[in-house]
Amino acid sequence: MNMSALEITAEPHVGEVVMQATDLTVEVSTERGWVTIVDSVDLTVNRNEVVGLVGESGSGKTLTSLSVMGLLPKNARISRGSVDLMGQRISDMEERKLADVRGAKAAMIFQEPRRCLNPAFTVGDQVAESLRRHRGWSRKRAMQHTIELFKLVEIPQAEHRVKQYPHEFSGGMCQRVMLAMAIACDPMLLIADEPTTALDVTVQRQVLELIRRLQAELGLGVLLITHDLGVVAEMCDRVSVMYAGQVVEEAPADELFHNPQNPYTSALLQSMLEPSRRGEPLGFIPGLVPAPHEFPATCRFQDRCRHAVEETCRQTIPLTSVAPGHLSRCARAAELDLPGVRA
Amino acid sequence: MVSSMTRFIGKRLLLAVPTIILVTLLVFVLMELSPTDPAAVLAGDNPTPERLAEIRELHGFDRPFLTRYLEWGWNALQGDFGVSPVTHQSVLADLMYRLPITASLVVLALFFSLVMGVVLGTVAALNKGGVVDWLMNSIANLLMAIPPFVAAVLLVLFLAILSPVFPATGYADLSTGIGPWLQFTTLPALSLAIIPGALLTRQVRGALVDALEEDYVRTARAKGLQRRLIVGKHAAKNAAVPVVTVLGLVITQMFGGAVVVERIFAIPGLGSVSVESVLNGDLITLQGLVLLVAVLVTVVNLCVDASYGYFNPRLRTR
Amino acid sequence: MSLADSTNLSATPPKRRRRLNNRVLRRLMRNKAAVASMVVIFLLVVVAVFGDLLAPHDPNKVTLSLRLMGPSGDHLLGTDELGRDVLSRLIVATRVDLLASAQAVGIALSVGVPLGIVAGYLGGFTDAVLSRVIDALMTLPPLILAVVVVAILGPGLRNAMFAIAILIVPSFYRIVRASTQGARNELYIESARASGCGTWRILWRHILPAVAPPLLVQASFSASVVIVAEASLSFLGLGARVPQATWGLMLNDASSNLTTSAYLIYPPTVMVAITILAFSLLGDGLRDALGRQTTDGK
Repeated sequence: MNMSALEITAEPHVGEVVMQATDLTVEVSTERGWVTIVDSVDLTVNRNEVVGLVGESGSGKTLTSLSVMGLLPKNARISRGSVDLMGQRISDMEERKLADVRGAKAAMIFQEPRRCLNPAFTVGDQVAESLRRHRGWSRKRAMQHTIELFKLVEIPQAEHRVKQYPHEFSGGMCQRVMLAMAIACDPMLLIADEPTTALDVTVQRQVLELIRRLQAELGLGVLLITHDLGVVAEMCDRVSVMYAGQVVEEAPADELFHNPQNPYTSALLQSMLEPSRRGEPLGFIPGLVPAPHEFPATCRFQDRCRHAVEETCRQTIPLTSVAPGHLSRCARAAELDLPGVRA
Repeated sequence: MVSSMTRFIGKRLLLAVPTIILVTLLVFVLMELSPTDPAAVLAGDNPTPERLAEIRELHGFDRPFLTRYLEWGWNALQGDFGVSPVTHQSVLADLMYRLPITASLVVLALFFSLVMGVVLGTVAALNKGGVVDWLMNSIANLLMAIPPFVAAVLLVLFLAILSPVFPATGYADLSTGIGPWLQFTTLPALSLAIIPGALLTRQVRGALVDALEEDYVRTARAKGLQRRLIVGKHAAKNAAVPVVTVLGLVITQMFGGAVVVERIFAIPGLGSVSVESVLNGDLITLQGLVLLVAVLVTVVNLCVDASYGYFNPRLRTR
Repeated sequence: MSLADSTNLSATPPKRRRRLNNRVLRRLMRNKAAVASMVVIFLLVVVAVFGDLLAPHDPNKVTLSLRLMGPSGDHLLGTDELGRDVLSRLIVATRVDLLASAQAVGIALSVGVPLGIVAGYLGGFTDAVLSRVIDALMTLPPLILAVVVVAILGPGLRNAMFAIAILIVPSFYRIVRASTQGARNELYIESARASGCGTWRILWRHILPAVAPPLLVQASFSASVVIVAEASLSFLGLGARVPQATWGLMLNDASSNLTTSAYLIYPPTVMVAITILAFSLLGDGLRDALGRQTTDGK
């Protein structure tokens, strides 16, 4: 449990596929009928790897992550494609079986940790619950292990803290509790949906380091959903960028930052570099994300893209390989020299 | 940790004392303003002026108002509620004999209404927006329009006369066994339980729908918990607070409803005694009854307040 | 509501109120249950007003030879134990009940609203004393309070109505007090004061309109409470007296003949239930239609 674990970031990603989404398409029921929000997303997370899923709010990244957990709200459905967890098809699994997988093979933490914990029960009880559910342990045994988990996520005075209620914890501590709950049953996949967005900057860093450490120690595959490219730079091995329900670029993190092959990614990077613009991630790019029912069949970014050209962009653009392990959805990817982050 | 809760309860208790005093004072003032002469009631038909004066002096009606109130209050504090001029019995003894009868009736009614509210409300919440939800809501609305005495008459008609499952009137004390007691108490308790049951159905539905939309429910799902636990444990304990809040109101209403229902079923409880006192002009018994009911309601509300601490740990500390 | 709409609203206050009312009315009209309730209440009022013309028989005419006759062509709902026509009594009872309810709500409004305004506007000691008294009233279960008041005033429909008015005063008082407190602090009151309006003028012109919507909702709910309380007291023999016809008395008559003539209980039961349902659904509808304004007041 030493801090040197943090330095293994550059470890080559070997290992089996933990999660694979193929052609994942999610629709949501609205007044206009079923509207496609997530469109043919391919996403892979390997063991011992942190994959970033980046996009603005409304890009479909959260629905993507929820469908990986089988947690889609009642008004949403997977209309096409599949999700496999550890080789097991979960996208067409019935709820009862799915519940056996959730928390055991894949776990998830969310944006506002304080609201994610039940105010009416002790934090220890809520973590132990997972162990009792999936391992069938007794209350006592589960609670003992919970204390160990609390120590693992660096909550001081673990024996005492397990008996306390969420309102007695700070936001950062609540996220540690959520992490303890997530890793309780040794899952292979951890999905973190904006895990630090609601936290203070200093606490953000601590929580990210903890996630990185747990990932390395437990060999987890992590899917990190964020709109903050700073977090991506710090954490991720590979990145998928989503825009208007589609993956527009996918690349190893270094490659993406230094050599973006999609105008949208490049614009995102520029907005991150503009110090005054930090915090309003995409104020830099003029225009708005199109509403889901108005997603065009052509390039969805063209109205906001400064490189858009009538004929070339006004057609369906496939996600194509521009370099080994580097995919981009841009008709002009080859001819453009897009600015990235200088090393 | 416990002390803050105790302090909270203590504060409520202190606030309740002046309220109870005020209630009795109000009733005393109203009785003073009453056009009916209490002496005339006691004297019977065509009393002589001498006889009236005699009664006035005997019962102290001629003394100043405040003196009488303070004396009554002082005696009541010591457990002496006076003697009924009609039955010539100790008012407190009479009320204490009747209290458990009404209390047991209310407890049974509360049980019925809770079962109804929790079952119908949960079914509605889990089918939010669906046909079942609509149906449950309609049932609740309809039942809200059936006051206890109407319910009582209908229940007697259907379950005592048309199909004689229960006796139409009468009472068997709990001491005679739970079977006979249930036989006589089921219909009155059901009559009392209908409107509160409908109220609780709405309340449970609303509270559960709100709780099920909370983030911690998503966490519980992400943990892989079964639906049974998510609804029955995680959502239920949070949904309980707004439900418990109306329980105080519901119990108070049931004590009110007991006035009519006990009359219909000839149950010798507090409700019956209130009507009898009015018809007999027995203001002393009525005065004692007001005090007793005010204290009862206060105690019930205190219990409700105290239960918040269990459902909402945030109240326990700080 | 569109953006253009809202700018228009703030620009012209008089127009705003009318638009507001239109919007509330439109929302109310879209609520099927509320519309049905209004139709029912309208019909009840028609029956109450034209009762004498509608009643097929003299409601108080005793014909012992016709006692406890089931429904027939001549007596559509049958006759009661004194041979009186049930339908006619039901029609006349509608008038008595509605009038009595209107009285009770009226009395309660005329007591609760001024007290609430005074307490909310003045605050301080006055507020503390008034609020304590109201709390004390609310400590007792409604029906027990009513019974006690009847005991003091003596039985009879008029006294029962006074008793019931006392029951519902607290709800009006609380709403008005809260709304007044809220409105008092709002800017438009400040400006009214600056332009030299007298206190009563301020109250009348500014607070009353703010209080009216939640009050309307509560009045509708209260009407159903009154119906129940009146019927309960009459049923107990503490309200209306024979030979007056009210739903509560008719139920009482019916319940004493339950074994032989069960048909007697349905007409008053249905009337009581329909009336309560109509007023409470109308209350729900009004609350939903008024939406934000109502919750603001609380």
